[in-house]
Amino acid sequence: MKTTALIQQGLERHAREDGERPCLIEGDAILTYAEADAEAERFARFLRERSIEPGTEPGARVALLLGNSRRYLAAFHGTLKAGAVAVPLNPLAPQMWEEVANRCSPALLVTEDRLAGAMEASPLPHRLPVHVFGTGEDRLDLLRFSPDPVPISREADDPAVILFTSGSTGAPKGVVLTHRNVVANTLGVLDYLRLTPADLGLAVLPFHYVYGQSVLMTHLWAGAPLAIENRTAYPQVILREIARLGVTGMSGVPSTFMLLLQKGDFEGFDAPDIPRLRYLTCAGGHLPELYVDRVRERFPGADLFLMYGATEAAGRISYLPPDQIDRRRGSIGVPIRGVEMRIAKEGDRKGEIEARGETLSPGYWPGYWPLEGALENADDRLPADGWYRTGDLGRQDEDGYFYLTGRTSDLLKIAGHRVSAAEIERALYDTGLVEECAVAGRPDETLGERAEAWVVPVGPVTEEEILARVAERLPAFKRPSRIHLRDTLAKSASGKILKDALS
Amino acid sequence: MTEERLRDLLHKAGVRDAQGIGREVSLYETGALDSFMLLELLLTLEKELGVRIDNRDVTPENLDSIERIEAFVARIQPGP
Repeated sequence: MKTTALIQQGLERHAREDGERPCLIEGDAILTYAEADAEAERFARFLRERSIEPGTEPGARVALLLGNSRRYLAAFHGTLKAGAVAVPLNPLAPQMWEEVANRCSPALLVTEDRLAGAMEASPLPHRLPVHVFGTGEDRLDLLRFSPDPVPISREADDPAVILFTSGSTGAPKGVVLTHRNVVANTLGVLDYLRLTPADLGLAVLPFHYVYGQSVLMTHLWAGAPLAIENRTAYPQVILREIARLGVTGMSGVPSTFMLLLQKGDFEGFDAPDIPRLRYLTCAGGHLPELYVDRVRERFPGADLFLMYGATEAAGRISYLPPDQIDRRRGSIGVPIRGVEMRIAKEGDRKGEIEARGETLSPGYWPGYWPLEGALENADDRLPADGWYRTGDLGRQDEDGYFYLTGRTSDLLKIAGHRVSAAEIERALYDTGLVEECAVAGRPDETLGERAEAWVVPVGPVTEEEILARVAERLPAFKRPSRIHLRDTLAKSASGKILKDALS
Repeated sequence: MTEERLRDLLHKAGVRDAQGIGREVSLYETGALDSFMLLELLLTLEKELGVRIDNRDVTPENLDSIERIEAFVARIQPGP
């Protein structure tokens, strides 16, 4: 059955049916569903006064430069209620803002005081009208606008959000997500997390990030409250809020859990103090097995869901049911409801994980839009067969569970053999001599390509010693031809080793 | 630890504009610090100072601005 709902209808339904229930908890302040929906309507009115009308396809873009707050909720849903397209910006990546403005020409930008300084130092104020939330003459005060609904006509396949991903190489890409994509992801996640109004989530991830957006949407759809605490980088704050509020679930990326376990003060913090915490989810990268075990030791009452996804899939692609973690170490699980997964069997893309379903984006802004003329760009559209190429290499076990084995971009072709850089990296780690490493291909006159490794050694160790240990683990054609010893390896803001910077 | 060195460590941890950020500016309020950067910062501080930072000390009160980190480092730094 295809979903036909619009994103904002989750909030609207709970506002109508049970409007006094808590929707957002910020510190000691509680915003009810009815209040949240009214604020979004006011924002839609504000946009209409700025002549942002739903009439034109594919809809005017509204840029949001906001932290997690009731304002984000109002601006995001208000934009959709006005028939426009939300473009959330990452406050941590000001270098991307101008490029995003160039790509999708937003009609205006809304921000808040604490980010206004950084925004004013950027080229944005010269590019588009900027409105800062607040009270007073020069501020965007939502109370000046009516909360009466603005009638619009929008379909589930209309674009709703453009999320820009930085990627490890190249310019940012604007992933277009339709109402259908986001709602289908929300329903697919709810199918296994089973949130109800009795749940209470702790929002650790930013809403401008697809995973944070998914956390927000699943709670709104379930009618559950979500607590916002912007200082959740601090493990003590997370632990305190879980206990203080009676949080039932939290979603994080690997660094959230690694920081929590390494630097959390668990003294006097025991499972009986947090009887309500029933699940934790982790996605956005691989959580090392050591931490998988430690999370379960520290939070024995909570189910741990390890998940896999992509911005292009509006969030989730697969999840590993908690009772399968011990049986299927390292697995990314099975597709969420509404998504199909497969491993390409032949051709250049052999071994690549592909996904298809209602959650999958139609393509990248602006070229995805099937208009005649200059805007059209086939590279910006998802393949016509509907299968999204994840760029990840994988395998499936006999019961259909998926596992990641590397990246297609990391695939080397050495003397005609296809070799995954990740496999060589694993062998290097297995020697026990390596703290960090990265493998990349280099052109070779004889072999076509050869593997070279950049290694941060655990202690004083020579290139020869590492090579000798690797030789016990890999056939000759897979062994790196050189090992470069380094003190550190350059990393991106999200902690990934920058392979382009290896030299 | 000098302020210059601290700004350098913040930069290496991924904090944007680590050289220009005001001493008293909240790293959280301006969205400059996330969990990954905080972990990097703590690990480099521990390595640099040769001490283990007590988990109870990993709080916004100790770490949310250059001024606060400086005061915190001065407190935990082993004596000469």
